Amino acid sequence: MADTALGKFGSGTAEAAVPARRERRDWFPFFLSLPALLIVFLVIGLPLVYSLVLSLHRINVLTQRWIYVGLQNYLQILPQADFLWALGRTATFAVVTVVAGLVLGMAMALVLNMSFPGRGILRSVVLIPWAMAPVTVGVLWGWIFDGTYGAMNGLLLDTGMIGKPIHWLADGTTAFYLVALVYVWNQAPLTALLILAGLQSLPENLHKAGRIDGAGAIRRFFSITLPWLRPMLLLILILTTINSIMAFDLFWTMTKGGPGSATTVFSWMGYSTAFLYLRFAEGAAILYVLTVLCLLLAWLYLTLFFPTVERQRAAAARVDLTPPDPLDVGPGVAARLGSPIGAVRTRLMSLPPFTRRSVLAPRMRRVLGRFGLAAAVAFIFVWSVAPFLWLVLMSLERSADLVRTPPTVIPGPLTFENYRFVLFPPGVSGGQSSVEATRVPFGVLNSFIVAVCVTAINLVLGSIAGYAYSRATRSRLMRGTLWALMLTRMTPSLALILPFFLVFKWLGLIDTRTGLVIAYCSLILPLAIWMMKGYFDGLPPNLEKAALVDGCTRLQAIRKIVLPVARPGLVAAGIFCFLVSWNEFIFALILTGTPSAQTIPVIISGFLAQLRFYDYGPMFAASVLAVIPPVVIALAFQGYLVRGMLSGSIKG
Amino acid sequence: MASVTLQQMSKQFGVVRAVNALDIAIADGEFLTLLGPSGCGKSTALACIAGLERPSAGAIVFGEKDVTELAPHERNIALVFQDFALYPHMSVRENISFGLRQQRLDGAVISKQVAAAADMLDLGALLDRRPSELSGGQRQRVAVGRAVVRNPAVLLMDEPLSNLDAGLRIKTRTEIKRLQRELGTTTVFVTHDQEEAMVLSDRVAVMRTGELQQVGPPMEVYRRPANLFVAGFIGSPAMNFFEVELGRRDGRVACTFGGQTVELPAEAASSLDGLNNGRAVLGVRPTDLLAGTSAPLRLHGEVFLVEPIGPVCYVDVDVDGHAVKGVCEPDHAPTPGDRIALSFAPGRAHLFEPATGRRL
Repeated sequence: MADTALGKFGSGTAEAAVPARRERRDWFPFFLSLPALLIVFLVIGLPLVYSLVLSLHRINVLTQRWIYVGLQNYLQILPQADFLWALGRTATFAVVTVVAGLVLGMAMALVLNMSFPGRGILRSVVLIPWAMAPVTVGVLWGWIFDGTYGAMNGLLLDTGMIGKPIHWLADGTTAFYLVALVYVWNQAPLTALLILAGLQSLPENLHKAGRIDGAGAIRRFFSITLPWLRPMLLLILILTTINSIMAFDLFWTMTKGGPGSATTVFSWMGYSTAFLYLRFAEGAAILYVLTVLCLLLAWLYLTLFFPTVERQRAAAARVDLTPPDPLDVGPGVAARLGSPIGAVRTRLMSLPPFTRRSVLAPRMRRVLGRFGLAAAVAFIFVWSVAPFLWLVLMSLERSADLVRTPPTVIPGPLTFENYRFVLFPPGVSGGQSSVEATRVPFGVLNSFIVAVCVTAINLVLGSIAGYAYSRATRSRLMRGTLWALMLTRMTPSLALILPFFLVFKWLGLIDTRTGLVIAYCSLILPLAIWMMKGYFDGLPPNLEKAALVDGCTRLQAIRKIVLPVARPGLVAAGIFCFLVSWNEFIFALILTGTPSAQTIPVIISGFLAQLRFYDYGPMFAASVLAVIPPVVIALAFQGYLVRGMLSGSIKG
Repeated sequence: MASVTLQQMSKQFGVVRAVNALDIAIADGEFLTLLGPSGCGKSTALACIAGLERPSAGAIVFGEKDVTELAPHERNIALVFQDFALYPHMSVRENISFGLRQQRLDGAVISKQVAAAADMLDLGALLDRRPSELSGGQRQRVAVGRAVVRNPAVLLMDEPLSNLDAGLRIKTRTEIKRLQRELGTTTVFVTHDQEEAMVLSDRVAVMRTGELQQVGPPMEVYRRPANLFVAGFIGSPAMNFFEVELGRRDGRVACTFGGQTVELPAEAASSLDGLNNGRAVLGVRPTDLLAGTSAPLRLHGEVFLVEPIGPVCYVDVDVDGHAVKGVCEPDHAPTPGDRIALSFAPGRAHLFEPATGRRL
């Protein structure tokens, strides 16, 4: 071959003589994400605009007339003391629950990451409180802390620690912090799950290196584990903050904003203004302030979190394009290597002998450590399971035994009567039946249909869009729309309800399952896209490239290779979709009204509204029925959830 | 079967020019290796040939046909990936036959073809296993099987050996060479391992920061590197370089380095006239710098390190403050502190222009 030395050294070559090919814009990823984007725009973007317009008007409910009033609604609510108090309570609630949830979740995750017999079971069991619908959680804990019949009073009376029942929820401060406690009980497992996923990705050798350097367990936690979890913790911090600000279900079931206004947080205020006092415009204004607050937080989160990720990526992607200079021989090497053996070592100081800082003997410490672990495991187990078992127990008691005075925790005779009552209602005419009980089978059915539809729709749209976002990182259009999607994830769902309610009324979608499915997409689709994007980020892109070479079109490569390979991620995302949909309360409460579309959380809340003693047994039976599907799913797919979390979150 | 011609092919990612005006003609049935350090654009060039990336400028021609705008599956190529990219949810048989099934071939034809490929690569016993149940070497063979089963016009390989451990890599290397000879398929192989490139290729194309440096048969690239980069990149251990002053003496070229002078034959000085102030870079491979022989050209210095590797011994010598590596017989190895002479034959000296790096 004669074409040897082409002599193209350095950059002195002439520019290519051939004309450049016109850069073709690759629209394929955009088309993949388009359906999801459209739906997000329809179910989140438009309602937000509608809500904004609404908050600038005054509406006469009877005449349906809208009068433009500008910022008057805002000016009216902003200086009110009620409003500022609610703001303060919301902030307090958020700070308390976020901090407590983070500490508790971290502790649970650390315990669950150690090895002990029964770890697999405990990992599943901790998920129980989180899998339960907030409404059920509220019903359960509201009853435990009931001032007359509650289990807490029963326990204290039985053990003789108090003389007469305490009215827990009658005191404002106590009620506020009890709701916070229950909220933490419900939400901490999610934090634990996320942290556990982060802990499992921590390279083991880091801790080994730390131990060789003489760092104890506490030092290693602060110097190795915590820095490793930093991006994950930031994500958790922001997500839980926004969730806390939006918390509503527990206030509805446990306190209804009372006593007085002691638990009237922002979300309750917006809800009661709009839907109890039917002052839509003012409610919209309050909820819009909430929205702006959440979006501000979200913006803070995205600017805090995204740049670090980008910077990391950039650093990782930066390839040193300058090859080593062949002339750089390192003139010092010869001199260095010529020096006598051990010459450098004499310049280093030798460390003083190691002194043990702990007063305890190593053996003692091991024993204590084992006891500590056992105690922690026992605590986590009881904390997670006992309230759930108490719910099951109550569902098996006769209604009359639930309302004994003085209260006691010793159960009466057990019966399946309550289950027969709600599953095969004897009809309204039959003596002691109740309207609400007859609705339970419909509620379960509705919940199931809605959850399945929502899961199917969101998995399809979310996985295709997630794939597009995962692969098209170079496109500015895709990066921008992804950013917008993440921002909408932070929109408080409460702010969307009012526009949904008004628009659905106009469209005749109120009290239909279709309406609920549409509304739930606003909650779930951004989450589904985000989770699936995270999963696809972890799949080697060479798989689709191999499929392209093997004769697939790009769509075929997705259908035949990418989606089958991504099955674990699809399962995890599907579980999330199902759980969120099944457990959702406030959309269903406001957008449905009859058994034709009411979901099971709404039915349970209906029991609560009626407050008839003979309905308590059936109410708990219905509650158990409501928590069984999510709890079973969470227990069965616990492994998938941790893996899905890992891929979905830690990679940012 | 087809020849492959790259005509002024460039690929730009934003402001980064990954491949710059690449011009290579690969003959039908030839084994060509794209060799270079990471980030030199060799994998991008391969992705362009495969159709996974679209060149920003230039053209790719297979035989007589311009394929630049064709999708990968329209080009009749096969690609073996570094991470193998086996479909994890399919058995070995399904992996190998996937491309054939995509073309909706007859079932009997497919099984005959798969059997032939499996036989060629000794995969018969593994056909019903999943990729996760295979060892690294087996996965590699499946990946190759998936590529050759379609009897492609062009076989592309993107560092297919770098995920294997050292022993297996050498064995598989031989296998690939044998397979390519038997099939006679035009092959483009990407690697950063110069030894692989030397062993496998009919021709080697050395790249650096998107630019082609030199293309030629392995031994030619080794013997007559076109520039400083190629000289330093090819060969292990790396070539010794000296900044020397050139002068004429009795019709020969005198290279002065520190206090020592070696005289090269006049042929080396053909283009000496155009050189500014007579400076150049002299390169000699360690394996050409022999201790204890009587080759005509010599450098003197003090030994500071002796590295026995078995068949030979490397000696690191301090020549006027520069570390220079040479070889010696293990039986006659010097000890650190000895003053020795390293000698080399005139034909093994390479002279380069310092500013451009071009060979003189």
